[in-house]
Amino acid sequence: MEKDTIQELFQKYKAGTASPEELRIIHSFYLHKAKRSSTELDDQFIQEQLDAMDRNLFPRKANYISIWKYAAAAIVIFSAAFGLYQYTQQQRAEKEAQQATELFAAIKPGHDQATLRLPNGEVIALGQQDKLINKNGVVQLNTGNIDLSKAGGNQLITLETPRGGQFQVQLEDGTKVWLNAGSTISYPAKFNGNDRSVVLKGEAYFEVAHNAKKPFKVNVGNDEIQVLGTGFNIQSYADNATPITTLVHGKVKVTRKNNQQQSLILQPGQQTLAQTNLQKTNTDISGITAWKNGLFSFRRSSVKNIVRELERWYNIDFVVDQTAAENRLITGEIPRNVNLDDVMQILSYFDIQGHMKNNKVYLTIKNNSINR
Amino acid sequence: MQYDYHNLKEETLFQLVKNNDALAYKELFDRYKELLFRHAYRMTQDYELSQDIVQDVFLVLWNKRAIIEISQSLEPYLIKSIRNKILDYFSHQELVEKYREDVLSFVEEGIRYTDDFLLEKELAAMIEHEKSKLSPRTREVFELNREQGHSYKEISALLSTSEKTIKKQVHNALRILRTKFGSFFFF
Repeated sequence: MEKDTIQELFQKYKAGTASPEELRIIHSFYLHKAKRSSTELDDQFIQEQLDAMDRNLFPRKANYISIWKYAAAAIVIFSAAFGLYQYTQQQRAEKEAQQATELFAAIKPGHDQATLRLPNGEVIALGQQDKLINKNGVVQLNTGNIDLSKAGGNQLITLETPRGGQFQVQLEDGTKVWLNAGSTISYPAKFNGNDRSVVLKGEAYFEVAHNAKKPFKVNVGNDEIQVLGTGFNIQSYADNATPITTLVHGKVKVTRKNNQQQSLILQPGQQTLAQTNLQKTNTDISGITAWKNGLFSFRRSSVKNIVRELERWYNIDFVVDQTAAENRLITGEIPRNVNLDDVMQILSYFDIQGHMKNNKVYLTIKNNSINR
Repeated sequence: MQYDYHNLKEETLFQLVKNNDALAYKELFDRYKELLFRHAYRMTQDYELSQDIVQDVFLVLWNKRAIIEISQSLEPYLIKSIRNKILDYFSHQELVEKYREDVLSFVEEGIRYTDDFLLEKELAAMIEHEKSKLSPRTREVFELNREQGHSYKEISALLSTSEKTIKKQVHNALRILRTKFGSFFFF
């Protein structure tokens, strides 16, 4: 088929003399063109077009009664001026909002990264390609093995994640630890004593290998969590009043070394309260461990808590009215691997707007009519 | 009689249009305007023209409402109408020059449909694809409302969001789902 043939076909089409077969060729061409053209369309652009069509097809009726003409004219002039004012204000607000979105879009989520400090003083930076496994006193890394079995004593290896980092480590006994952002765990290359003791700061999820003869102990702040074999989450950041231990399965004993030594046993689905006096409560496990599965999960979480989590994951500081942030509760879920603009968009559904200034995110929590 | 137009089936809306109901007409326009505009713009890359084309299709629908017979769904009718309008435009142009690339590749590939039904089905599927998808948030709100029967007020308390926003999200979801699956599921 020639180019000219198609032009001829269209002339026939225009004249209304194309045969069914010729029409089919034209329709085939149409479909072909439709398949080849793809355009990413901006939502705002589309909305403007749709609004324009609305105005064209359904114009607002203007019924002025004659005696009101002058008053109406005055109102028109006034409202035009006011409208112009509002319009420029709106334009400015829209422009600012657009700029904010662009800035947020440039803020990347955290990823697998950590620093490993060995007893011999060596410091190793770990990235997304690295796996960290400890076995028989040997630290196994992608780059090679480091034998620490002769390092003597119970010198500790320290694994530290920065803000915007997370990392997984397998300890010598087979226990797996997921370390959340801004956290540190110290553990020996080999568990030699009568128990398996580690020290935690920040947040981690433990899947402890069962060994009835050697209890596993996590020392976190004033708490000691003692287990035989089980899965649990501990959150103990500097801004937590006390560590919060949440049990997923198995059984753990929490001992708090206060003035008086308190202890309690957690059952699956229970967690310790963030208060000096050691007590427990029932909780939603999936929400607590969501971070380990790559999700932010909020169940009636205060914006204050959400902001803390965002700060650690996106490695950026937020500025927000503390009272408002404490009172506004949000429920929802979002993957952790998205850039900050997606999170900000979700927050905007809750009437929470943000903008960037001096490398900080300023949040405005609007009064929500329902919560008032 | 005041209907809840948002919740009416498409065929019912069209019957109302036939009975000169302008609000039913507006509702149909709202359900389809975005879909048709996106398609027209993709084909022509001209937004004013695309507006005109979509408006024309709907003006014809109103002006000829008495004689238009639609057997099942409105969508095939609208898709055919918009295709014909765009083809009219193409045939007014110096086609071979303006759409040189498209014509050349079409001629080279030599694809030809022999079945009108298939042609229309493929085009409809393509236009469907343009539809904006439901965001997870909108879906959640929609499910709470339509599937679990919570009121707007209850949902807004549950999700700490304003009632107005919830209402908007449900309507949004309805609009998308209605055009997507036809209207049978939601009334």
